[in-house]
Amino acid sequence: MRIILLLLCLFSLSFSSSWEELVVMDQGRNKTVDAYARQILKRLSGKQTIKSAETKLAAQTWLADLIFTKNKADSLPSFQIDNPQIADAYGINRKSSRRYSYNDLSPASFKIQSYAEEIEKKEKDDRSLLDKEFLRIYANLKYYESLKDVFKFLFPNAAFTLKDTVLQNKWGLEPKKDIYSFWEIFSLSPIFAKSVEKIAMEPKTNWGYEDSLAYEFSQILYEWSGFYQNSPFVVIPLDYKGSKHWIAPWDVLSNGLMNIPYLNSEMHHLKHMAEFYNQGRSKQFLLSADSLFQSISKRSEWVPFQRILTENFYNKLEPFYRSNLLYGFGLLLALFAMLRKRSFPKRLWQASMLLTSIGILLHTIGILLRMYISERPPVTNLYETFVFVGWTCVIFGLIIEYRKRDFLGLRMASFSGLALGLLALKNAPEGDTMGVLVAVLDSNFWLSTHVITITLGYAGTIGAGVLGHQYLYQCIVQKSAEIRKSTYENMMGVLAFGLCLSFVGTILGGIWADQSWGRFWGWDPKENGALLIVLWIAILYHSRLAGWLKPVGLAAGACIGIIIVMLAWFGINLLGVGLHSYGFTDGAATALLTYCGLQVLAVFILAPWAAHRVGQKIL
Amino acid sequence: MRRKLAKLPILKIFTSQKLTVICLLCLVMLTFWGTLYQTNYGLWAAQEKFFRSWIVWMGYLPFPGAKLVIWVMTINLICVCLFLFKFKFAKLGIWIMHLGLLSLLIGGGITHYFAVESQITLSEGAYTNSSQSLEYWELAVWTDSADTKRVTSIPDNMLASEPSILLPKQKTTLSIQSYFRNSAAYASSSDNIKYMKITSASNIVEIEKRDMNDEIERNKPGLNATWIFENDTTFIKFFGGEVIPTELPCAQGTCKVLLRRKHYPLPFSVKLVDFVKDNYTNSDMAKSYESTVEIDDQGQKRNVKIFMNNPFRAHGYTLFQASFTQDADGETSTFSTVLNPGRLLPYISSIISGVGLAIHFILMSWLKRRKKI
Repeated sequence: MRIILLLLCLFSLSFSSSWEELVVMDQGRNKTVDAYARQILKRLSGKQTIKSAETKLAAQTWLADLIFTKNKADSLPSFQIDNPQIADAYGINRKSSRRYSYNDLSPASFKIQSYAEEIEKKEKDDRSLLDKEFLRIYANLKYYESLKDVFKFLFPNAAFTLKDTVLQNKWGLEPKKDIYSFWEIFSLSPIFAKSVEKIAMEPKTNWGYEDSLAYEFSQILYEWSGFYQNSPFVVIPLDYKGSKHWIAPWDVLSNGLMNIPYLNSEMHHLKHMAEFYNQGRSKQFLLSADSLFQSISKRSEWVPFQRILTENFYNKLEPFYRSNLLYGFGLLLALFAMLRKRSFPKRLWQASMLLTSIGILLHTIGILLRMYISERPPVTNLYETFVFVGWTCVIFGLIIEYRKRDFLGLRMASFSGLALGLLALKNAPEGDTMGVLVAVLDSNFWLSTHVITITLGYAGTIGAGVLGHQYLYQCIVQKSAEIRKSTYENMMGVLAFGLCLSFVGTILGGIWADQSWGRFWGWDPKENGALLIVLWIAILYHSRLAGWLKPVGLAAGACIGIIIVMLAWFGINLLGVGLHSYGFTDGAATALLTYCGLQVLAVFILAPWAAHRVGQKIL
Repeated sequence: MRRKLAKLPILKIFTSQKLTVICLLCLVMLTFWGTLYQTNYGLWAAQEKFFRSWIVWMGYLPFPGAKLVIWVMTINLICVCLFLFKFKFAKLGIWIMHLGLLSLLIGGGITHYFAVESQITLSEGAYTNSSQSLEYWELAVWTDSADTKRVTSIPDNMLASEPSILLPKQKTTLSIQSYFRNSAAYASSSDNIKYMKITSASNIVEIEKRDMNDEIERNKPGLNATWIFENDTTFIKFFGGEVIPTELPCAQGTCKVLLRRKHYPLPFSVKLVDFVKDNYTNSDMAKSYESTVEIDDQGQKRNVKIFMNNPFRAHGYTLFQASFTQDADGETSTFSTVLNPGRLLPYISSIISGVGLAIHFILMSWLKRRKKI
């Protein structure tokens, strides 16, 4: 395992640039510049790449444009505003692309701020979706502006104007420049300190020209240092008196850490990077980035660079996107085989099996990489549940296919893999899918027992639902009784698996709740959701025993089981209440309700039709 | 004999699998409905209306509440086990699983009827040997003596139902005019309060009834009463939000009286030594909360750490890290305290049911294969 990861890591290094390998501390976890830039851009614009006038830019290039240059990124469409009402409210021209540049938004910045301030006065529960959108845009704009200022100390600024050549000479400033940067003026702090100390007790009228200027500059430096605290792009690790921190370039300057030799040298590497980037000297820029990386990695053995860099490989590999494509093609071939009625289409079977198998291989690699990078079990947030349930369904399908070799398992595998993969891509949390966990979830034991078991239960119930659809279809097209029986048996087997795992998962959840909150069962929405799945499957089994449900009815019940799983899985999170509401996602409620409506409608049409075609009763 | 009994009409109903399905369907509906209800009315209201009630009223239409459904299911399960299940090897898993389920239901019942939940909030350095209820209140009466503090407490259900309560030790009668489970109090410093002989530590002049809050811990009761000691009659107004006791005349001289959350004595004392909130690097997001407490168990002192997923258990009590506050005055840590005599039953029954379920499906698939061969 370790050797494979090392090889993957080496592979990733072979095509990574030193800029994208720099490590950033963001939202409680380390990530590479590449991952950081992708997440920020995704948060702001909804995409991981950005279109400029000439070409499509990678996120890391966009980030470099934004932080190293004064305004190169400002004309790029970095902000996503889906709702045209918001554009109207800001008084900016609507764009069909729904993407706006900083230059588009900055004239409306006052309005953007005042709308947000008004909304912030409301109670959180009283804020509408539109309100939340206003707040999101404001927060994104603020974050963009803070990124613009990451290296503001390097650029000459009118606040630091000094035209007096004598003083320029005396203070050791670069002559004939007039306007200086924060960094240049900040380096004169010891001189200013002496002057300020000298005049501290003197009335202002007695201050000399040089001392007044020193005092003025000190004031501006002080204000700027305060203003640019908590700057983003935190790239400097610091092991200070046994306490480990990460700080932003601004913090190095304003906390007076430039006298530490290695920090001084690293700040100069950053300065060179900015200079070379502005001059368009990409080779020198990357060399400086490499020097910075080498310097940081040599002195910071406590930072797990190998693990962090693996995220670059993961991002470039895009395992889930590629596995989705493969499942999609696999499904197409498996469906195409339905047209061939006379003989078993061996070639199609082989091709579909190959595509789905490569898909599951990539899917597995993706999950393993995530586990390695985050040092956590495979399921810790809503996004990962989609990925994992999808993976489990594909495995189920392939096992069935391996035993039966009749396309049944292949269709189930590729369909559920694709559907859940698309759901995962659609519902990826804004930006970071490997974010840190809230305190109660930070328990690898319970995450790897309860969460995995319950998600396997979801997978079993969904798998049974997919087979239920297949069974109804086989009844409608009047497939032979033997084929239908085989599908029915598989469906009931997978449903039994779903019942066992859902039951055990629910119980394990109860035990976790007892350990964390002091009660085994509290009728919390998520607990209720899990209970609903168990109850529903129990109803299906007992109805069969009571003679109330025949195979078609059971298949219809298994199809409805998917709705129950969807409601328990993320419908509960949409309610936004309860102790488990940490995976809340806005705006998905309509999609979920639409699906539920369509699914119920489909079952109400398909089940009587299927029963009629095979001369069977539902109840 | 079993078969014969099973033919009795009443047992026919209670051994019916159709009854099981109906109960399960009712439970599905109640769970779904109760979950939706929580979005508007909160967890406590939903629990009271759907899950702790015998009947749920939909306007004028009754619907069985979860309590009723679970009782029927339990009887159904007992009857099925006694009269319907066959003693066959093939049914071994079914037997084990249903016995596990039965013990799970019994455990749930014990928790429902006997478990006591309360809370302890301590600032750093403070200690206590009692916990406080979030739901129940009491009127506590005591006199300060040099070494011990003996408290007479009148529970809130008595305050709500009794018109007059005699306190023999204090030789006092408390005549109750009104008791509100949730109220708002209005205070005034005006001098006419003394004239009206209304006494209250916080100078309360008006107590107003309020609707019950969805979050039980936010309810603050109010009491309008008359304190009668010998010939001295004092009109008093108590409010659940007060922290300073009201001083009133009694047989011991002066008694202190306070309407406070119901206190449960603990068999040990707890002192908060230190509370630490650990954040993720460069983030405001908490990674963990941890309290170091000193437990004094009959003179034996020891330090223990209580943090998320790591409670402290002793004498049947369990203390969990629930919440905290951090401000200029310092840090406080809040622990949920649970005394549940049926705590272990869900663990045992879960294992039994899980094993039963696994045995059943493995057995089924094995028997099926044997049949094919």
